[in-house]
Amino acid sequence: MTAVRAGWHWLADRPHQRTGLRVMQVLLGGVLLFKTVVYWPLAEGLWGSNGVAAGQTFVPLFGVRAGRVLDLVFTTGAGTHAVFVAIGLGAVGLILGRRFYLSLCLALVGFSLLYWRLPFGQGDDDLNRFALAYLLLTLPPRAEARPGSLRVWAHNIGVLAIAAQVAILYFIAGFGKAYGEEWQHGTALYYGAQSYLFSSPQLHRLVLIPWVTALGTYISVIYPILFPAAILSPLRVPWLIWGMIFHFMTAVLMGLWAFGATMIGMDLFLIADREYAAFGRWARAWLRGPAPVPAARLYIDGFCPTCRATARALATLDWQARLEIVSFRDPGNPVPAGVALAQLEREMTLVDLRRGATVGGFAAVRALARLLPPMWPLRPVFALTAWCGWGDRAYRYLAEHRRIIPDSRICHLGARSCSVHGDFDAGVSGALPAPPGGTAG
Amino acid sequence: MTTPSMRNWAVNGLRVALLAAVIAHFALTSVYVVYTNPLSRILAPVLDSYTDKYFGQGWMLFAPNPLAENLSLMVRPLTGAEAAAAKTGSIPTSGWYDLTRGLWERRQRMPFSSDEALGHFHVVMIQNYFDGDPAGFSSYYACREDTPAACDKMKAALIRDRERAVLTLWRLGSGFVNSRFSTSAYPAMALKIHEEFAAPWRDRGTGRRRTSRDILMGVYATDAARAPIPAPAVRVGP
Repeated sequence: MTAVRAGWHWLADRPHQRTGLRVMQVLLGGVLLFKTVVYWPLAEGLWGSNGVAAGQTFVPLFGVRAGRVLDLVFTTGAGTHAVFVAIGLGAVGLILGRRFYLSLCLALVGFSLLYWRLPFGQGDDDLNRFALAYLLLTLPPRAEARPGSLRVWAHNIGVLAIAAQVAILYFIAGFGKAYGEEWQHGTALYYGAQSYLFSSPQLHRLVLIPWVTALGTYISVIYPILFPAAILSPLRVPWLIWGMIFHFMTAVLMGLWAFGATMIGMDLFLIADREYAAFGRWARAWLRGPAPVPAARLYIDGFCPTCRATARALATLDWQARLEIVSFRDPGNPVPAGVALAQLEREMTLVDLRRGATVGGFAAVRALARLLPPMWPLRPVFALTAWCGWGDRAYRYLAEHRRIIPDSRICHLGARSCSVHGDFDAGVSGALPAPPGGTAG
Repeated sequence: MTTPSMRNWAVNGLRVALLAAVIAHFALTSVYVVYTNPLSRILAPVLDSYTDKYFGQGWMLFAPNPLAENLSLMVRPLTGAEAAAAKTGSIPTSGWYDLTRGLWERRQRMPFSSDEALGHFHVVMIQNYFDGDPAGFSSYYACREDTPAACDKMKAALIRDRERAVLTLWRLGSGFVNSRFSTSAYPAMALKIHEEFAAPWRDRGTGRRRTSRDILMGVYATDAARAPIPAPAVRVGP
């Protein structure tokens, strides 16, 4: 009874696998988008009215009336391509996490029509189709549901269905291999690599090494058979990580990128929310180090909404907590030595806390790009812009035309302590227009 | 007038119904995806009309043994005179095009394309063509160990798949001819399957040539109405 009760609570209490589902949706959408693009030139030749699938009908599947209507879709080139457009839009919706149910329906209906019209599919196509169908039960990304509600139950049933489908896939893939002669004798990897359609020159060379072939062959049998049991055991996360490495290798060495990406998506889906949260905490701690010490302090205009938004974006990119961002409008932040208040009002200013050097304007932008690794790809662009002289001009234009709205929330010492232009009496009573010449911020 | 208690019963009923439906769905799926077995024979009416129809799937990925051969669909466009000669059994030995080889060669250079999917489609159809050869039916489990009815059912399915494979391969051939040549110049075409076997494990890395064989499917009229299929093809020597 305890197990039944635990199972009931698991299904009823709160929605599971929210992060995993989101990651899986992105990968699934990516795979569908990829297929839409690369299959597009083949659409007429394979699925069109005069294509390989000519004469196929949906009547046996959906009855005369609905079947005939669906048949009409493929009677013109525009109709055939419209199916691809629908799948593409659905895929984009899945990647962005927008219009969830509409995106799911577009992708599911479009993809199923293609599959039923011509058995062109591969293993990942079946899995994609079923995952899209089961996702209809789940909650959209970011959607909330009352704990214990029927909506939560339906979501968790959807999660259970996808997990069951993945477990069946793995088990049967291993079970089917278990009595194949070449798998039993440890040479299947070698023989599989001899078919050029599922091989690469690298794999061809690799399978000539006996221990690689034997080990790879036996792991390919044992791993999937044990998969359903492993994901219910404490070995789940290492098992899934191993699976992802395995699928990445099959993608690289066998060229099965769509299948590999789909399976990696399914493995990532099976990682629980609390495990993602723990990983996030660990990753943040690892990136930031034991005790983060800021390397630089950036002075921005806290009264400028655009400057505050920029500061938030910079803080997101500052994985290693090397940057301290402050507003010079806040009297709690003293003006750095050697810098005039007028300079802070004119341009954002970056102070190197180790050497004491100060740079402002576009030079500060470039210094930030050096400081924050995620901005490194932009450094050549910034260098070129600086060399042309456009960087300074563009920065100055933006700084001079920025909006300034006094906001007491950025002042640590109270509303009356905040000012624009040193006009303490103005306080936060109202927004002041930016004067021409740009001294207002 | 519904009371909170009635509402709770209704909601819990819905919950249990949803769970039961999913359990039933996956119980059927589990029986469907393994090889034919006594349980799948009992459940055949449900499996055929539900699982196979809407949730057909096969997860024997590279099982029971991986595909070790290079299978190719080969096409020889025939002029009117060549087609007439072919009727008497004189099939040209030169001028053949390998439609599958071009796909795997290009895929190895650029994996992010439709080449692998199209090549896989060729291979599946070629395998269906081979599997539907009546000469091999007696070796199947259903005909060796099972009832005559099970054997007949399997034979019917394999023959149906073979017929469909012939139709598909003919259309793929026509799509190629229409994309490359003028149909009026080549009103017919010969189709054959080229099978190149893997060197056995003991001969790995010796550079020994693989053995191969060609299976002539037949001579067919080129279907001029078939939409062209833009795909690479390799011209092969005699």
